[in-house]
Amino acid sequence: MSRTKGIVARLRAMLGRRSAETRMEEEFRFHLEMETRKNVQRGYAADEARRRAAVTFGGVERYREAMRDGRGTRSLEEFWTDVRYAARSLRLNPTFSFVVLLTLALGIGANTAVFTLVDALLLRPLPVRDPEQLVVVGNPTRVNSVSTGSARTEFFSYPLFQDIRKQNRVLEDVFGSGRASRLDARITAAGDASAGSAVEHPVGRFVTGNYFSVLRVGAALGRVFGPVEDAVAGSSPAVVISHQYWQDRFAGDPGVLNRSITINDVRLTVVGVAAPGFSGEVVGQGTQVWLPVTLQPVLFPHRPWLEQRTVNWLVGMGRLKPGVTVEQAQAAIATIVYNVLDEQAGQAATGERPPVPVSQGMRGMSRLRSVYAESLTTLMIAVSLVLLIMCANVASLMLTRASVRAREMSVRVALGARRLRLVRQMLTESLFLSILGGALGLLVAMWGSRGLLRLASSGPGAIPLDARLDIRVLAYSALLALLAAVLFGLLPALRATRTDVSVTLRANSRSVTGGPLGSGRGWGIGKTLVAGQVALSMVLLMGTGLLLRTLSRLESTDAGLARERLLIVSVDVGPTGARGDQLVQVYHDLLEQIKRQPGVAAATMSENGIFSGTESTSTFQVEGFTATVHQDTTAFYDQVGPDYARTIGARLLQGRDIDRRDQNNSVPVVLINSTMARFYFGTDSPIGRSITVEGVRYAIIGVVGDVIYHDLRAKPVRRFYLPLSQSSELPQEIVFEIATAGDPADLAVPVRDAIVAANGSVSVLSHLPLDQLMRRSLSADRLLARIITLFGGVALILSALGLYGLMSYLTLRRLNEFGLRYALGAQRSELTGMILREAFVLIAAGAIAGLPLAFGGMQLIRNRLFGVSVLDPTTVAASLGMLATAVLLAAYIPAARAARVSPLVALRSD
Amino acid sequence: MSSKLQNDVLRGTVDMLALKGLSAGAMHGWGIGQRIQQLSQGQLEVNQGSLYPALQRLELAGLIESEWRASESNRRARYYRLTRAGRAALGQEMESWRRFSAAIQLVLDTP
Repeated sequence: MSRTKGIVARLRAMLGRRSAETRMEEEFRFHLEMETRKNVQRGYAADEARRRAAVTFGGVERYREAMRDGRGTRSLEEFWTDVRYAARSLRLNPTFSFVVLLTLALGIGANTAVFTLVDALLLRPLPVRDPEQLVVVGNPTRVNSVSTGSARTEFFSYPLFQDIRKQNRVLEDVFGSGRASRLDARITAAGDASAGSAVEHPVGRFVTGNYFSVLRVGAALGRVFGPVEDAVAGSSPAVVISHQYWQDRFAGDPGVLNRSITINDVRLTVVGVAAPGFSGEVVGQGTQVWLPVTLQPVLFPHRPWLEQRTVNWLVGMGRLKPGVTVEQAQAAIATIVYNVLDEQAGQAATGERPPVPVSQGMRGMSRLRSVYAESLTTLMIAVSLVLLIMCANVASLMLTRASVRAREMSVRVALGARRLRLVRQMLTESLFLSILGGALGLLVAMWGSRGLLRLASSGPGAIPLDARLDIRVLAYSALLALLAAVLFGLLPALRATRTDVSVTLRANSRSVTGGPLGSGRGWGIGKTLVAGQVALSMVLLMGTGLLLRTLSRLESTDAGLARERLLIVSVDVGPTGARGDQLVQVYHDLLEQIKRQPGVAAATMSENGIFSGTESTSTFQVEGFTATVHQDTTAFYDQVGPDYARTIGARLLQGRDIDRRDQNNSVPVVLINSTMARFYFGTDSPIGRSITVEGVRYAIIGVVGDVIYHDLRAKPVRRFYLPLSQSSELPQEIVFEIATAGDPADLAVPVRDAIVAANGSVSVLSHLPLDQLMRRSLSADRLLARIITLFGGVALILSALGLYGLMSYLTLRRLNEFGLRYALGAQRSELTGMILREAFVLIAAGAIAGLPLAFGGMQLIRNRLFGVSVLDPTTVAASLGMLATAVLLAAYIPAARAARVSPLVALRSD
Repeated sequence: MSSKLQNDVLRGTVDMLALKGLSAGAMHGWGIGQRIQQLSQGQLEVNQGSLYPALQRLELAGLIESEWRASESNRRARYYRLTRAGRAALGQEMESWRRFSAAIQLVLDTP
């Protein structure tokens, strides 16, 4: 070590580039040596000679400072000195460094991980040129919605979209895109035309021909879509694939161009690969294949949506013309939509019209965003609390260390160092620590954000969100590190340098009056920090408790049906090629087959299913009811099989269920739910009355209890059920609801096998117990609850550690007091009790401060709560109990240790 | 208060004394201190350390220059030397100090 130093010094001297600081030290050393030599010549002993030399020289530190001031470059030089000093003192205290760095890495890492997700989902603009000019026409969260029936205004039918595109004067251009559900793709190896390759399901999206030109995204290979794709339906069977998909599936092979992919038995040609980094306008979906919208009826011949004004499935995105604001664009596009709708209806609509949303589109569209935005905000707040607790913790550690260094500080002050200088040095140490901690935190974040995504996903794969560390994330964590350094470093620095020189230098460790952390009984800064940690932990624990209770309430909530006894099987009957009455026959054959399975108590079917994600709405008229607003004439509906209400376990309140008597040639009938009955008929019985849907009168035959269909938090809505057997529009996908005698999970596979055995050409899309589907709908709640629980746990551990550290320090300082007390006849248990009482006062103070803070904080998650109040007494009690237990346990160890000490040791302990 | 006044007065005088200490030829810091002490016949009790900030100041002002070379005891030492500007400045300083101290003397001597 010293040898290397010697070499370095000599090298520097040779190059004549020694630092001013080294030169100064050498000059001073030379001076003192000369003076000492002179004193020796005068007859002083070596030691005395040296002492006298130092006295005549004066305060070395003061002159060093004066010279540094004089050089003008001092702050930079000092900064480096401080950094070297910090690194050295870190090396010399490995345990301290390890604990602090670990805490910092976890705190900063957790914050950065959550921020990475916030960034990916909420902040990052689309990777296209001039994203700020983009606007979304329609509701950006309804990217995968399909609604049949009447025309919608927040997502559109293709004809309506074409009207908007043609009549638009405010946007340079606008494209439309919609979901391409379940693509069965066969990709054969190049040159191998034979079939038999495995079926894949790439994530696809139907887009209009101007999609890439509006987004200003080019091709990495080949071409992107152009006007030719819009021309004639199905005229150009072309696909464009994403760069990511090209890499993943085709290993970046340039031979992918002009290769054919068979999707839903239609042969398509890959015409291009989109620019790298671009994975579509839908954030968190990772589009792999873009299909021209005109191909929709070709790929889905059983569901030809393209020309239907009654099928709404496209959301638009456009570029604002220069000088046009989002508000102006909204007004102009709404006018177009209303005019088209009036024209279609043949009359001008009266009353309030449903809004046509147009909003900033810089960050793309996302369904996830609406699901997770609120959770992420809550997480951001929670993780910030963890950061604060962490800072308080590290601050305590720094204070403890500062008290050890109090003597060093006093000596330096006595030698003439200015206080500002010392504060700066300590802050540099803090900064050094937190930058190291932040760097480690980035590693934690990289791992953590992936873990969070996996937690958030209900399926096996993670949500394809691009959670990478970009410049914003790096800046964020750097800012955090800086903030943390100030938060945990400033206070200890100010405290440690506020030393009264003569007192500290003279005082011995026997003094019981305040160290920098406060004395046993006084209320020092250390106690405030610990109480603050307890208060903040209280907020997190309350949040954890409330969200966990909410989750369990949601999971056990009464949805109005036989949740534990239903198996939901969804089947695509399209491949059978059956139409009309044949199709009805296929349904019923399958249904009979299912009913024959052992363990099946009853079975029925419906178009939309339960917790399946699809919904239908329809406009209708009720005799004797005049609607004042448009919304009053719409309700959700489903087409269902016989014994529907009984099979799913809904309560039949009046009249009868739909049954076998309701056939194509009998009177059209409808079952309504109790919310709908109350809304239109009040207390009157609706049996025998009727509603008219698209010109057909349906007689109301029964009222069924409200059933929750898709969202367990949702309030019951108006809903009606029509018999499938009387339907004119039969679906190609059908959902069987199967009531089982035992656990529905046991029947999932047998039922699927029975269906495939009965009809080889149908494909079973899913077969899951209803309970599992309902749990899946709670994934966002579960994610939030899980992560907050994690944070709550971390907070608890940090608080316990904080108190442990403080109590250890305080009891150590007071060992002689305890020894005295013991010598004077106090029992060991009394001593332990005394320390625990002090700890308890600390917790109580923290909790009292924390409670109002917690209640305030809980207002933020109020919307997420279900079935519990913000003031839920069980949660409050449990949080307090856990905190008290954890923290008292932490205090017990030093208390017990202190009580075990021998009085002699205690009295000698300085 | 009184020590503060002393410091201010000292700062200016230390600069002048350092220049004076170099008027006889190049010398290192310790040697300058020794010369001043000899010249004042031990009357001036200045903290020797305060010479160094003064030397740095003077060098930055271009009144003196320095180089590292072997001392009489064959140790590396930093030797200072007056520049031409330094020599002129010393003359001016001495002149104004004489006038200043004569004025003070006049005041103090007046009964």
